[in-house]
Amino acid sequence: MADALGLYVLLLPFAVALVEGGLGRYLHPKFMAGLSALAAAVPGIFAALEMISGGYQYVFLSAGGLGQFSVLIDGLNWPVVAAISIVSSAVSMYSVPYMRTRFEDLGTDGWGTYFALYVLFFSAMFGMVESNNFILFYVFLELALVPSFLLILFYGYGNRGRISMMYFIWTHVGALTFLLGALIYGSVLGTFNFYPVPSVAPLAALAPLVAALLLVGLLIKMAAFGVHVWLPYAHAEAPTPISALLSPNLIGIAGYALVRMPLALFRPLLLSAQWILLAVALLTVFYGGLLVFRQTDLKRLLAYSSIAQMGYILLGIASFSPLGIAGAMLQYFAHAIGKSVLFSSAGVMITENEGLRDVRKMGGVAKSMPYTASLSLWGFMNISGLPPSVGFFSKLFILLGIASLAAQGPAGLFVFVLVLISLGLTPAYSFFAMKKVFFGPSQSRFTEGGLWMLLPSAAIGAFGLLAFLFPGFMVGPLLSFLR
Amino acid sequence: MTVSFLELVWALPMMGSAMSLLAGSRWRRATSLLSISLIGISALLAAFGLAVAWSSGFRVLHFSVGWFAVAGKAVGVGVMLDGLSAVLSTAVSLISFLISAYSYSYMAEDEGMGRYWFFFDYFVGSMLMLVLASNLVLLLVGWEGTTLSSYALIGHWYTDEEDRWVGDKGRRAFGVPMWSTPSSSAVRAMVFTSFADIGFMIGVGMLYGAAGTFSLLAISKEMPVILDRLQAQGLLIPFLILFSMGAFAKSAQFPFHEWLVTAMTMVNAGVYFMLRFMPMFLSGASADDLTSSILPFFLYVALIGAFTAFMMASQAMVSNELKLILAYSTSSQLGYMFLAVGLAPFTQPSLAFFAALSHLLSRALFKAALFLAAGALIHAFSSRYIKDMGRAWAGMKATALAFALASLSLAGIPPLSGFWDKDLILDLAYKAGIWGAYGLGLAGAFFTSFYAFRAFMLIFFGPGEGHRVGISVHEPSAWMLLPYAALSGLTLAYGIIWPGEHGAASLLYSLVSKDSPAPLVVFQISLSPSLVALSLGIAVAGLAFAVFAYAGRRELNTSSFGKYASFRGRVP
Repeated sequence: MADALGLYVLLLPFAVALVEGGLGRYLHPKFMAGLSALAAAVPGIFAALEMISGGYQYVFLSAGGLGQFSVLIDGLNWPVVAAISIVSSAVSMYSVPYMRTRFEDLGTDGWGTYFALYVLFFSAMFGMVESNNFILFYVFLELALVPSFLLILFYGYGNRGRISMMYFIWTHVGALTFLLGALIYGSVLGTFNFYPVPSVAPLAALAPLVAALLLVGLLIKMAAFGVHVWLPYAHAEAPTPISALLSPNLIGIAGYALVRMPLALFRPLLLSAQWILLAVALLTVFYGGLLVFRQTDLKRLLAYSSIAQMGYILLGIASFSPLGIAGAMLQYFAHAIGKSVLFSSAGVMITENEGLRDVRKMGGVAKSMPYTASLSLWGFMNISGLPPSVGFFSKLFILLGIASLAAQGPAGLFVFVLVLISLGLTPAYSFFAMKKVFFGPSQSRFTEGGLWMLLPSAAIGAFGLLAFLFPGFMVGPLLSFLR
Repeated sequence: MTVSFLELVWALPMMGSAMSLLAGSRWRRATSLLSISLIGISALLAAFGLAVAWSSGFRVLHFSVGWFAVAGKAVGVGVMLDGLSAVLSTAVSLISFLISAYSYSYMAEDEGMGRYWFFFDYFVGSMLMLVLASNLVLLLVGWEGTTLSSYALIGHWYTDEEDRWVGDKGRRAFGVPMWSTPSSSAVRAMVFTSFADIGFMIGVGMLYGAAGTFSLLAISKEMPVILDRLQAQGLLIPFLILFSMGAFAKSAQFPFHEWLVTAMTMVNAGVYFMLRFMPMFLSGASADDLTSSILPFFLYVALIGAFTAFMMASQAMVSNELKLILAYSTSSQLGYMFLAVGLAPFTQPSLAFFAALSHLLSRALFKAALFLAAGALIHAFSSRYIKDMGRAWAGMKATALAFALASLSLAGIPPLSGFWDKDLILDLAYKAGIWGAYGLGLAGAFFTSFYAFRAFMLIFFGPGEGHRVGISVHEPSAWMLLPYAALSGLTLAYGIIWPGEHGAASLLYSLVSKDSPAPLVVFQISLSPSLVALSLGIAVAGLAFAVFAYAGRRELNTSSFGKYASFRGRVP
């Protein structure tokens, strides 16, 4: 289909953000939550319907030397769109009880501002994922960055001024590196399109530079090992609904973009750097996973596990096999489901138990919070790939991709050993954390969250089961795109 | 004949699981009865499947429902019926049914009962799914499903009250704590098995890379090509190690034995895996593959198995906790099965695989009986330690008889099932000329009968130190007693009709067969009398030693032997 509906669907949430920002004081928070949830759900439903008929691309602007701007939904970005839609929609309902507590703590009240920024944030993420052009992508990237920065600054914890600034600067280092690469690309090729994939032959000797700039920029966004320092602060100290969006969704987009841009455009060049990518991926998994064990703050613990999960995604991509890359995109979905459920559970701890975040003070929580415990178990199952969660398929496909490295001989086998060690860490830290928080003798009584906190996270979790039962809906388009 | 009904064999317990989740801990009695009856129906269907397999001469039958496709090849939710899956699905569902009936009474007062049924049914469903699966993806789903539900069942009493602990509180060996709470046992089980599962999955990936399909039947047909391809790339040995890593961990073989001893669950998946794939590798291997890669690998399997059998039996001799003894024993018995599998290329392959399968079945029967009886005993004495138990004969004669039958089978005394298998395995090891494995196996046989009857004597005739000794211990309810009585009856029955001489070993032949009816091969099982006399003598010696050492004791720790073999690590 090529009608303009997709564009309107993409713009609709921006309109909602304007309404909520302008009229916020007259609207009831629960009404705004519902409106925001709808604004997040519509693009996801639209994408699902379009995928049934094979995908969607609509060119809405041809801007000469800038190339064409279009809205794009295809096999590769569809799992990403679905994940953002599901998580943003459910978390906006969850925001109501959470932010009520947060506003009480802060002594302020700004429902309109909060929801406007929140909606702006996820709308921009949809924009990033559905764009086909570097300029468009960069505009949306900035549009996502500013509201998320403001949300941390206004409603975050700890030293939120410094932390939000750190977040802002680090992601800008990444964004600008990326932009530099994009500018060289566009000025030489005369188009900023990256899809449909143009010939990059005119770049000639500049190609490695462009590829490297794009790659490094995205790796910073993804918080790969070495350039990850900002993530634990930002994700742990953001208000929890935002953590639930930031941690799995926003950083993972960089992984998607890696496949969409540098990999699609400069495959031979990247292939020559395969060992570097593998090393970065494994280091990220290993480092993030090990640090999880050291954390005493529940949200920081989850943030470090996000770093490790980004390593997973990178690992799938670095296998350079269709199966592995499909696994990486599925991992995006599975991690989004799992981690947002986990952050929601952490949020229940915070709001219902006087800001409790210290894991050392927990233990035996399952007794008084059985629903939160069950949801957390489900979250950990999703990220460590146990059936019947969709994480099973993402782990399976990533490992199928990795297995193709066997053709590389002894070096490939060496990678297997490292994969074995580093991926073995995920269930280890997941279930170790599960034990520390929820099991053991009960230290005191804890209060279970209400329906507004539990239902959204259960709804997110349900999609983890659905995607496991019907894997073809994502695997099929992914594999036919990647082949 | 369509075998679509076999999908229900695993789907019914899964439905039970979903319903327990919805019911939670309401309608306690109804939830239990529903789960029990669903597993019962699934056992009947599995038995019908066995009859179908029998009547069709163990031709491979399959049925599949569309699921998704990878690279144009459909991956279905499919079942495959052949000798191995027919026999094992029947055994698994039948034993699960008996255990579930036992749980009805055992878990009746437990506040986490809904959760118990949820994970129990999920475990049974996953186990049956993995046994019946017609492709590797579904097999993996079942495999990982058992990982998760084991984790949850081990950690069922997650509040970690002290009477649920395992091991001796406060005792350390080399600074390592020798005790474990349920929740940490659960984490340990999860970490050990899922770590190795990653190797398994990479192995699946390598197999898929070489075969281009996940279907077990297609893979088994293509095996010669696949093995040649892997051999040409020099990957055969790494592939075999990675691929079977999951099975080693799941069956708690050295060095992955660490988790099982504190966990204590049913662990047949690993042996099923070995029996499913090792015959394929063996029959698909060319002469060149065989000498360079397959033989060393099988030798390694045999030696690891023998070593595990020996080492874990030695641990069981000195353990003081009833369930811990049984857990060590499980790992040791699985070692014998791995030994049998490993012997395959060095003797008559079908016979070796048959021995492993037969031992899997008899162990499943007698070990389930022992575990269930142990549950009743622990309940009766309110203690996990055999030193707190004693003189149980007076009040629990039926339990004593069931326990004795199962222990005799474990010890390998004729005509119980354990005798035939163990002697067959030892006989094969001798004839294969792998002396190390034979020696370890033989020594293990002595240890086995010793620890089995050490426990038996102390529990039923020992002096005991516990507060319940001497006062009225009595039989548990019929719901609990009947299952383990039935199981120990079955172990006797299985020993009497032992199929080794009736050509039933051809069941296994159908594993490696193609799509056509398997020729019925009647094996001449000729146990050499002198070897049988030796191993039987050793088993009887172990038994007698235990009986003499522990009979007629008035007090614990008085005999000089007790100083070495009984109660290390005294528990407050």
